[in-house]
Amino acid sequence: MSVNNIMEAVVNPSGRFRTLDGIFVLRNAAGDPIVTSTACNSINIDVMLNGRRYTLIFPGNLTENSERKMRLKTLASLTLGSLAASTYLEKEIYLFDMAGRGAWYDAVLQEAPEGRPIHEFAASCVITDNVAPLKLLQENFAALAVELHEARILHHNINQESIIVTNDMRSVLVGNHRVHIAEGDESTDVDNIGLALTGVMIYLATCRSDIFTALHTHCALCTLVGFRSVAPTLVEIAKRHDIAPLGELATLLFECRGVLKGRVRLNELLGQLAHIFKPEALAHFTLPAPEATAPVKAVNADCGHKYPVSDMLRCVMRGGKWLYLALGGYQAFDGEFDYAEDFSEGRAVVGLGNEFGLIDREGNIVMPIAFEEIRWFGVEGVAVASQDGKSTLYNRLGKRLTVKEWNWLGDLEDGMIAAELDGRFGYITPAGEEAVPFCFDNAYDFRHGRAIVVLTGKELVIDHCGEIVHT
Amino acid sequence: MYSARITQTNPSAFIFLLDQSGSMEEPVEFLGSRTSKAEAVALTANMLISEIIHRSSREKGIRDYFHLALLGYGNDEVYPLTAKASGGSDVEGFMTVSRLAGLDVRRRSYTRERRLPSGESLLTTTEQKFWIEPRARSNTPMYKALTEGFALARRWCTKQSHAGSYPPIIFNITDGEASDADDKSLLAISESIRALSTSDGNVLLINSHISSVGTSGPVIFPCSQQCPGNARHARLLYDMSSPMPESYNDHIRRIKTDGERPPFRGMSYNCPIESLLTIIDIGSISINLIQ
Repeated sequence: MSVNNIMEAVVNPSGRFRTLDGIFVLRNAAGDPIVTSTACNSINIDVMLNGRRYTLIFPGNLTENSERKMRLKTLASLTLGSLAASTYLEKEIYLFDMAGRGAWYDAVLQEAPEGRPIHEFAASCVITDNVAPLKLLQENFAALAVELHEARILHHNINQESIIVTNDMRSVLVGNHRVHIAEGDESTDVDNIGLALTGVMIYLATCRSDIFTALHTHCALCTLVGFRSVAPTLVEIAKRHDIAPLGELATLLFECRGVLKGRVRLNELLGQLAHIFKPEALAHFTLPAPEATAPVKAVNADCGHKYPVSDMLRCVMRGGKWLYLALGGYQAFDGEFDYAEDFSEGRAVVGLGNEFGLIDREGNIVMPIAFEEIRWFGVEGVAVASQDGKSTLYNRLGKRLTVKEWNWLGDLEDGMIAAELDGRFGYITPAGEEAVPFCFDNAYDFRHGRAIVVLTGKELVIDHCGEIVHT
Repeated sequence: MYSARITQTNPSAFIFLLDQSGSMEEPVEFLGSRTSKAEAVALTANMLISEIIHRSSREKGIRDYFHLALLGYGNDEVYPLTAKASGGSDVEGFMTVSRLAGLDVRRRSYTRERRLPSGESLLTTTEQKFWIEPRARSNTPMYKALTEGFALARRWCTKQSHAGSYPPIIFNITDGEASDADDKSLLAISESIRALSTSDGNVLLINSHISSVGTSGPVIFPCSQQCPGNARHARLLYDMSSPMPESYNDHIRRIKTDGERPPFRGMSYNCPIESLLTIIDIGSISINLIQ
C-alpha cells in the first residue's frame, strides 16, 4: 500500500469513503501532511473530521495477517477511558494501486485527544511552578495503570510520548497500533517499565522542578538505560526520607534488566506514590557523574567451560519461537524469543520483534530487549549496541562503558573497533577510547595487526598506532 | 539473502539514473494529462522519494533508513539532480532521507481522473514536492551515467558500515539508446554493477525503457521465456539488468499473467510511461523491511 495513493484518496475524499466523507488532512508548519509510519508498516495520517482531530490508521498487512485484523477489531470494540477511542472501519476507503486498479481497504479511525504528551505537560507545570495539576495527574495516572490491568490490555508502546494529558486532565494512551487483550496466561508485564518510568517522572516533577528538568534533559526519565544511572541515588534518597514506594520503584527498574514482573505490586506502588509529597527529601539530589570508562574484563567463571559449543546450551526453534535447551534436552530457562544467537562466554543476543537484548545462561536479561542492534564479542566481554541510530559499548554486566556514541561501530578485531563519527572513520579501543584518529574516508577491521583504510580515495594499510605501513 | 532489516545503523540505498536527453521532451499521456516524458519521469521519481520519506517518518521525526543518490544524464554529462537545491550531497554523492525531507523544494499539483466503483468519474488533485526537476537536452550518455552509478554503489558497498546492509538498488530510466558507448561496453559496466554486493546480496540494476503511447510489445519484468530476442536494444537491456531476487516474485506475479515463471529480470521495454509507477513500486519493496 503506497502512502501516495492513500494521500490521494484522503485529500480528495469525495466518493472515496463509505462513512468518512468530509475528512481533511492536517498539515505541519511547512505545509506537509502529518504522516508517520510504524515498524509494522501501518501508515498513520493526522486528520480532522467534524471539527475533531483523529488519526486515520491504515494497518499494513491485514490481508496476510488475519490475527492482527481480529485484534484491531476487538480493540476498537472496547470502551476504555484510558485508551484513545477507535473505530474499526471495514472496507472503508477506495484506493488505487500503482497500476490504477481500485479496491476497498480497511482503516481504523482513532481519536487524537486534545492535549499534550505527559512529559511536555509536566515540563510546562514545572516552568510555571504549578504543582496542583501534577498531583492530580499522579492520581489519574495510577488509575490508568489499574484500568489497563483490569481490562488485561497490553499496549506495548507506553512511553512519555504515547500518554496524552487531555485538557480535562485525563491521561489517555495513543499510538495504539500494537494494543491487544491478553489471552490465557500471556504475560501482562509488557507495559510495566513504561508505566514505572512515567510514574517516577511525574513524582519528581511534582516534588522538585529543578531535578525533573535536569533528569529530563539527560533522558534519565524516559528510557530504562538512562534511568539506571540515577536509580541508586533515588533509592538512597527514598530510604533516607522514608519514601518507600519511590525506593521500591527505583529498585525494581534498576534490577529488572528489561522485564519488570509483578503488575499488581507496581499498580500499588504507583497509587501510594500519588499520596506522598516530600520535596524536601530531594533537596540535595545531584546528577551522578558520567560512568567510568574502564573496561571490565570478561569473566568465564559462570560459563563452566572455555569455548564450549554454545556454552552447553542449544538454541532451537519451537512453534516459531527460539528457546534454549540444556544438554539433557529440557528447556534451560523460561523465555522464548523471535531471534536468538548461540551463547558465547555466558551471554547471548536475543530479540523480540525488532528489539534486541543480551541474556545470561540463566535467562536473566543483562541488557534490556530494547536495542536496535547488539553484537556480542564474548571473548573480550564487550557488546556493541545501537539505539536511535547511535552505537556505543557495554560490558558483560550490561554496564555502559563510555558516554561517547558513534554513528557506526565495526566488529571487535585485534583489540580494535573501526568506528564512524560524522562521516569520518577511525578506530577505538574496547573501552571506547580513540586509538587511531578519525581522519579516514573509510576503515576496515584489523586483521593480524594491520587494517586497510581509505584516505582521499587511496587505500592504505595502517598498524595499531595508525602509522601507514603500506601504500 | 535480500532480507537484512533496514535500520539507521544498517541503512540501504537507492541510486536513480534519469535519462534527460532531448528525446525526453516528447509528449506522452501520463495520469490522464498530456505532458513530456521528462516531466512524467521526474514526477514518478519524486513520488518514490515522498514514499521513502513517509515510510521513514516516526513519531519522533524522520529516521535515516535510506541514502539516496539522484543523477541525471544528457548533453554529454552526468550531474547530481539535487545539487542546486541542497548545496551538495551529504556523504560521497548520497543524501540522507532527513536531509531530503528538510529541503525547501518546488511543489506542484497534478490532477488525474479516477473511476469509482459507482461508475462516477472523479478528478483528484494531489500535491507533489519536486526534489528532481525535469530536463531534456541533447544526447544520451548512459555509459557515463552507469559508470558513475557503479562508482557510487561501489563506494557505498565497500564502506564497512554497510557490509551487512540490504544492497543498493539502481534504477536506470531511459527512453532511448546510449550515445556514448557500444553494447559491449554497456554490458561490461552493467556486469560490474551487478557484481557489487553486501553480505545480504548483490546490487540490483533495474533498467526501465519507456516509450510514447501506442507502441507495441511492451515487456515488464520478463521471465526467461519472454526474453526479447529479436529486438536488439530490448535484448541488450535484458542482459544488462539484474535477475530479481526471490523475495520480489510475489509482487511481480501480481502484475503478470498466469504461467510466467521466475526468475524475472529487472527490466522493462517499450512500456507506457504509467507502468513506470509499477516498476518503481515493485523495485522499491525493500522499504517494507524498515525496522
